[in-house]
Amino acid sequence: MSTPSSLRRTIASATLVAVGALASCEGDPRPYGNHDLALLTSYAAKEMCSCVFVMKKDEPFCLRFTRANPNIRTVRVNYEGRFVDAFAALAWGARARFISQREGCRLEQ
Amino acid sequence: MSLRTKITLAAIVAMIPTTASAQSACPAGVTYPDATWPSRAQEVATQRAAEIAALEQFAFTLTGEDEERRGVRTDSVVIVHRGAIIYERYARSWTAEQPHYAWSVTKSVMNVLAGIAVARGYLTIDDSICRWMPFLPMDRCAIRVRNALEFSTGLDWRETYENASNQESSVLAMLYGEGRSDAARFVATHPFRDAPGTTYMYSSGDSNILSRAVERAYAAGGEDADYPWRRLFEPLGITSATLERDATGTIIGSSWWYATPKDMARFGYFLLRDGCWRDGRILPERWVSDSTAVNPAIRMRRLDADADDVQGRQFWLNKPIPEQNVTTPWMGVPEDAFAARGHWGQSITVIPSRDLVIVRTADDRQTGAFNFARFVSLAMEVAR
Repeated sequence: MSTPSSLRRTIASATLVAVGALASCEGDPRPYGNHDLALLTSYAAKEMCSCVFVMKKDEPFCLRFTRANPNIRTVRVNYEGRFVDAFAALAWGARARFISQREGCRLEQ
Repeated sequence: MSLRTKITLAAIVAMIPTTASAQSACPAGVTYPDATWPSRAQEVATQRAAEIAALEQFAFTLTGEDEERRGVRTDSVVIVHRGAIIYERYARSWTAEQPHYAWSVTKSVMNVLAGIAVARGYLTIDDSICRWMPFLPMDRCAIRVRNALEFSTGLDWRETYENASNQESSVLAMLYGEGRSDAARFVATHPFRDAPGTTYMYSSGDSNILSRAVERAYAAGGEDADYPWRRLFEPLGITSATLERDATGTIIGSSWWYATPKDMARFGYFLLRDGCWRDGRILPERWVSDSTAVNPAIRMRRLDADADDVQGRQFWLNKPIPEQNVTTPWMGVPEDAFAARGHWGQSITVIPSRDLVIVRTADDRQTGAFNFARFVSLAMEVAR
């Protein structure tokens, strides 16, 4: 038997599923699972990595180069490990790792 | 007949293999650069001072503060005329030694890697993509390599970038979102908008289908992942190239080539010489001319409204499309000019009738601030 709080959660979940299903109807813009902050951190990590390790530009240049809208990400370059972490709003993050000069950088999964 | 039936019939036909390849003589009496480019820059600086000043006024004059990202923001210009550098300049902290991003210029590199695969007998442009992506459902088999080259796969793709809705951008989803681990699979599983080969729409997605097909073709030919260096970059003396890949190891053939401007000029010079280099022909005969003719799909129906968007096979052209009432888009530039072009102002322009290659790298973030035809015209004056 459902408690009032679990019932509310069930109703909320069903509503989200319904909204999601409506949003993915044919004819609508393709409903990519792009969360803005996920895109933002992936973009920042990958492009910062390529900027520093492939193009060999300095960090201040690369921070300006990878600035995006909204500009709320934090980027950390690890020169020893040759990777870049990008974070936004605590919960979102991405890492791009430099593979080699030929293969450049790659986002980690 | 329904779209589904048409696509299924086309898929069956596309699975029938064909062959193509040819060899012919290369341009005679031309020179190729050694490890370094020959230079006539000093001589030309004296002879063409006024023309160079006009070019620099246009290309290198900055507007506002750097963080405003306004106006024309050129990082480098390299001009090669009759086999020698006649002008080069670097700006905004860039140097000759630093590889620069190329964005969609990469698509033209993929075209050439595909051409070399054809020359070596690994691939035909009439291959169904299912030959190289066997995991795809049957209806996708109607897409041929040719369709990927000509942006006519018919897949429902939205080629928008940072200035549109993130949720609607197929490109952002492919590069940084749900498609990032396997770009080609992500693209190829989009729904059909039209039957393959019947409409043209510029698509970075199509370039990554091409990339997967090319990569698998080289692999089937016994070549490892270094094939771009072995077959293209090393023969041309390009030492700075980076080609970034997704998690499957497939090159992001739409976007992620990096090279120094002078190495980009080698790529342009290779195209100027019809796909030949010192040791002989690398691309099949007619590959460059076929790739720089207006593609058939664009003549039938083009879904891109941009008047500047005249495409061959992963190259931008200065040719009219009478069927579409489109005149030559680059005013003042010869009709035989073609270019590899990328986001934010990257370009490698080849003008065979002038024996000329013009490279520009840039960071133009303000839409419409840079006039490509004007730039090419001014660079042509330096080489006059």
